[in-house]
This record gives sequence, C-alpha cells and structure tokens, in this order.
Amino acid sequence: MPLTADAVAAQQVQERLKLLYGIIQDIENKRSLCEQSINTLQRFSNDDKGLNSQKTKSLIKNAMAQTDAEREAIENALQKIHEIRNIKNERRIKARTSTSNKEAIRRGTWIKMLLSSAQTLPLFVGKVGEKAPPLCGAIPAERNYVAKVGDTVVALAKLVDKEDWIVAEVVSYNPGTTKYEVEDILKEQNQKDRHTLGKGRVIPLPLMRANPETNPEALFPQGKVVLALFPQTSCFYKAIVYKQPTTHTDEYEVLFEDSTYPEGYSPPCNVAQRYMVPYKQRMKGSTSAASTSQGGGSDSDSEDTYSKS
Amino acid sequence: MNGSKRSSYSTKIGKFNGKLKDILSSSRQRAEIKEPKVADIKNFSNVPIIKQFDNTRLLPKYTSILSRTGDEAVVMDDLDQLQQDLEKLLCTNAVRTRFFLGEYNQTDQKDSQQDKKAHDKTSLKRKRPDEKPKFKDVKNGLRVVKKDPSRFYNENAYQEIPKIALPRNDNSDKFWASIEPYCAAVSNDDVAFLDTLIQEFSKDIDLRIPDLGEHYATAWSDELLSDEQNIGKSPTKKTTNSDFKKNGLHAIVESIIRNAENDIKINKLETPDISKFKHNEHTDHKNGICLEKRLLKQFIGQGIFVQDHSNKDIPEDEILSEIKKCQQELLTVNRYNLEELNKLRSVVRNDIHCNQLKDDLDKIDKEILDLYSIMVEKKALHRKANALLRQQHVLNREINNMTDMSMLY
Repeated sequence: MPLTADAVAAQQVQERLKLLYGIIQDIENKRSLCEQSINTLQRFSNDDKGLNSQKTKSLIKNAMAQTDAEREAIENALQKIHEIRNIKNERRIKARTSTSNKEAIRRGTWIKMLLSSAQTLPLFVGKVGEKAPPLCGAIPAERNYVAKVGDTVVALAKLVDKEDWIVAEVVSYNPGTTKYEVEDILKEQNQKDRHTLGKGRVIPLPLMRANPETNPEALFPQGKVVLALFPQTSCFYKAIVYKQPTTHTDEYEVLFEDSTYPEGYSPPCNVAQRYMVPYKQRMKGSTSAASTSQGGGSDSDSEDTYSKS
Repeated sequence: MNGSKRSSYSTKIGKFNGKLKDILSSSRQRAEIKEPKVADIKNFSNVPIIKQFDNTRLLPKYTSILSRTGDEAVVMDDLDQLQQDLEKLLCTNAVRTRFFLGEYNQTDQKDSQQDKKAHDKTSLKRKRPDEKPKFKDVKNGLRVVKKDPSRFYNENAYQEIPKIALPRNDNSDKFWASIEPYCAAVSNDDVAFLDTLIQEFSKDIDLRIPDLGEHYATAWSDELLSDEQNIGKSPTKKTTNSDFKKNGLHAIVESIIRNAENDIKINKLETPDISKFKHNEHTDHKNGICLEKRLLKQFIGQGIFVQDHSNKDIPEDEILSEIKKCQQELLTVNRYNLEELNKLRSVVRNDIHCNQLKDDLDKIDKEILDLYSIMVEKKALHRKANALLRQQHVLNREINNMTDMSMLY
C-alpha cells in the first residue's frame, strides 16, 4: 500500500515537472512579447515626445497586458513547484505517522532544512491594490485559524527544566479541547518529543514570504518586538527588528535580547521572514529568562551542529 | 520541511481576478486618493525588466532548463533554484505593472484635465451618451444620426487642444516681455542719466520779471492816435466826431467832463478857458488818455475823491506777488526733486553693487549645481556597485546552498 501511494505521488510529481517545462517555454515566449511591446513603447515615446497621449496610453495598455500575461505564466510555474513540494511533504508526513521505524534526522540536517524551507517558502507578490493575506510575512493568522497537520509552528514547550519557544510540527489538533499535539523537530535531543499544548501556546509560522517591493505592509516595522529563531538553533527568542529586508531574498536583521551583552542586546543577526512571529506579551517572563540562558549557550550549540554534520 | 500544505497561490487571488480591466478601473479610482508609488519618469528608458539577453547572468537555472530537451528536462533538484529565478521574474513583473500603472494614470489625468479645460461641453456630452441618447432614441429615431457627428467632433477636439494652448502661452510671454524693461537690472547708464538730470535741476534759473509797461488803455490810445495821424490831417472837430464814433465811451466821458467844467466855471473863465481847454483836449489826445487816470484825476480835482497814494500801486503788486509766489513754489518743488534724485542715485549705486553680488552668487550657485550633478553621478555609480555586491552576495549564497545540499546526500 505505501509503495503504490509512493508510486502515485512520484507519478504526480513527474507529470508536474513535465508541465513545468512547458510553462517555462511559455514564460519565455511571453517575456519576448513583453520586451517587444516595451521596445515599441520606448521607441514611440522617444520619437513622439509625449504629444500623442492617446497612442501612448494604448501602448502602455498593451505593455501592461503583456506584463500581465507574463505574470500569469510565472505564477502558474511557481504554483506547479509548490504543488510538487506539497506532494512531497504529504508523503513525508504519511511516512512519519504510518511507520514506527522512522529514520532519525540529525540536528545539523534539521537546521539545514529549516534554512532551505525559509528560502523555498512561497513568495507573495501582491497585484495592484491587493493586500497581503493572513500568515504572509508579518500578518498574523486569523483568530480562529487552526494550523494544519504537518505545519511548522512555534510552540511554548516545557523542556527539561524550563519553558522555551521551540520549532515544532503539528501532529494533530483536538477541536474539543482546542489543544494541539506537536512534535519537537529535534526529537533525539530532548527526551520528550511530543507535547500537548493549548492554542495560546502555539503560534503558526508564516506560510508565505512577503515581497518588500510590493507589500511592505506585510513586514515587521523597525523596532518591533518579535519572536525570532536564533541562528543555528531551533528555539525562538525575543528580539527587536533592526533592519527590514529590501528584496524578496533578503532577511531581517534583528537584535536578540541578551543580558550577556552590556547593551542588553546581541549584535544584528540575520533571520528569514519565515522564522519571525509577533511577540506575545503575556509570555514575557518565561521567554526573556529563557533567552538569557540560551543566548549564552548558543555558541556551543553551533559547534555541536558543525561536528555532527 | 516544507510546512505549507495547501497551495498558497490559490489563496492569493484577491479582489481582482488578475484581469487588467479590473486593475485599471480600480486604480483609476484610487489614484485620486493615493498617488502612484512609482516616480515620474517620462521616458520609458528604464522600465523595470529583466531583458532576455540577461538570462544567463541573472537567471542561471531558468536558462539552463530552457536549453534542455527531452523528457527529464526538469528534475527535483532544479526546483529550489528555479523557484528563486521565477520569483525574481515575478518581482520585476510586479514592479513593472506598478510602473506602467503610474505612467498610465499620469497620461490619463493629463488628458482628462486638458479635455475639461478645452471642451467642457463636449466632455459633458461624452459622459452622458450611455443614458441620454438611449432615452432620445426611443422617443425620436432621427436623433440617432446626431450621435456620429458629435463623436467626430470630439475626435477633432483632441487635435485642437494644443492649438488653443499655444496662444495663451504667447500672451503671457508678451506680457513678460512688456514688463521686462521695467524690471531690468540697473546699469551705469542709468547713473549717468540721473547725473545729467541732477545737473540740470541744480542750475539756478534766472527768471527776470520785466518792468511794468504802459497800461494797455494808454497803449491803445497811442496806437489810435498814430493811426489817425497816418490817415491824414483832419480838423479837430472831425476828430471829436470820429471820437464819438470810434471810441464812444471815451468821448462820452470827455464830453461829460467838459460840460461839467463849463457849468461850474462858465462865468469866471470864458474865452481863455475854452481855448485852454481846447489846448488841453489836444494834449490829452496827444499824450494818450488813460480813462481811469483821467477820471480819477478829475474826480480828485473836483474833490469827489480823496487822493490816496497807497491805492495807486496795489493792482500792479498783486500780479507781481502772484508770480513771485509761484516762483517760490516752483523753487521748493525743484529742491525736493533734487533731493529725491540724489536719493535715487545713491539707491541705484547700491543696487549696482547688489547686482555684482548677485552675479557672484549665480556663479557660485552654478558651481554648486555642477558639483551636485557630479555627486549624483557618483552616487549612481555607488548604487550600482552596491547592487553588484548584492548580486555577488546572492550568487555566493546560492553556491553555498548548493554545496550544503550536496553535503546532505
């Protein structure tokens, strides 16, 4: 049974890859059309000097139509890529729940996966006048939003002797008790890998990146207090936004709250849009204490990572 | 670990289903509230676009996939890089859409403004055709024909607009041209002109009032006498007769005086007096008779009037004093003018100095502008350098990722 399911998934992926190739050819065609219309517009505006506004308008309209066609093709291609990723991800979740002899993924690998996941997170490029939806960049989820199974979340979990915001995956959600069951992504390090937590202790991570050029409203403003993933760890700590990203590949620069530094903050660290969530006020006491203790220990953590990988 | 389970792009479809028409119409409404974000760039030389000849440089994975053929054109390992390339394209695309939208709205606004100004009535007509003509069409079929000429007229209107705009500009130019000489900078010529004026005004004017001549009545009678003498010698009686005719009033006065004398002195002085009188009459004629003087003399002589010396000079003085008064006034005005001219000259001198300063300032301004443009150019270079560095950084990271991923397997 799992074999056939895998085969079906593989077939689906292959289909989409083939489609993707066709779409890319299409994109190239659309791009050449677009370039042509822009060239015409440029030539006309150089000759005409803006005298014939009707013609200019029609040329702009034409260029816009071509641009729009190009956008549709590109979005189509990206859609296919995300479909492929989703199929893969679903297979992974199924495999995890169905089989008990799951392969333990090492810590270093997890960190790498977190990084690549941050880069491959779908990018939201709003159309004109379109606002970023919830869970895009800094836009929080709706009140009654429930994270899906397999989604990555930040969970306030009780580790050995303290509470920490950790990166976890949703295993299940019980609507009756409104509690999540989440799994710590670093199972082998912490004895207890599954936590049952109330809704208030789980924050879903953004499902899309925001494009700073078109949707700056979906970015955390400078000076905003956030929870951010500390580099080379799987824990989130309180931080202040120091610099916003300027392009869609950029990362935030944040200052982590850390009492080991004389100013009380760490030097600027890069954190991807995916691993930034709004800070929750009521958890203040536990997180700031945790950040203090963990901030100092991060160096040894990273060393550990390198030795393992 | 790709946490997003659902296809995120399907949730992305917002108000506008990607239809250009929707975007255009909605943005036109919004343009009134919010200015388009993109800067005003009239020439379309820097439209944000990744050109196709930049493919290999900016979109490496995308380009390599394009050149592949066969079934296994795209493989799983390509996806991450391909996604980045496509996202780059998508971002440029989004920026470009906004750029065009800004341009379009600008052209549109300009158009509608011109339209409103030049042809208010026609624009009203154009707004309504959706409602009114329909209404009319139902009523009266003939009106349908009228639609077309009006549209034709509207099309013409577009071409006429610049023609109307031009003379208006001309007028303002004319106005400024007429103003210009009055606003021109002061020059040394102006100072010279002022100097000559001051010189002229400061000259003493030698205004001599000529001595009082003979009274006009005396002058007239003199003229009369000479006229008579010229005509020829005539008897005295005839002369008196002619006196009566020619100078009625004068003769009447004469005769009155004569009669009065006769009445009073008729007894005492008979012959000699008459001869004397006759002689007097003659001399009177000779010397010219001033009516007033003579009357006065007679009246005084007969004791009707008391001689008053002071009275005699008054009529002469009145005019003289008037003249002198006027002269005085003119002198004060002249003095005032002179003062003003001197003030003006000093002001003009200051102004010339100011002009020199202004020239200097202009020179320095120009230098600053030149410097600024140089700086802007350098800044652009700097920005370009930054962009290149950023690209280098991105490429570097990609390479690192590739090696990282390869290390995983």
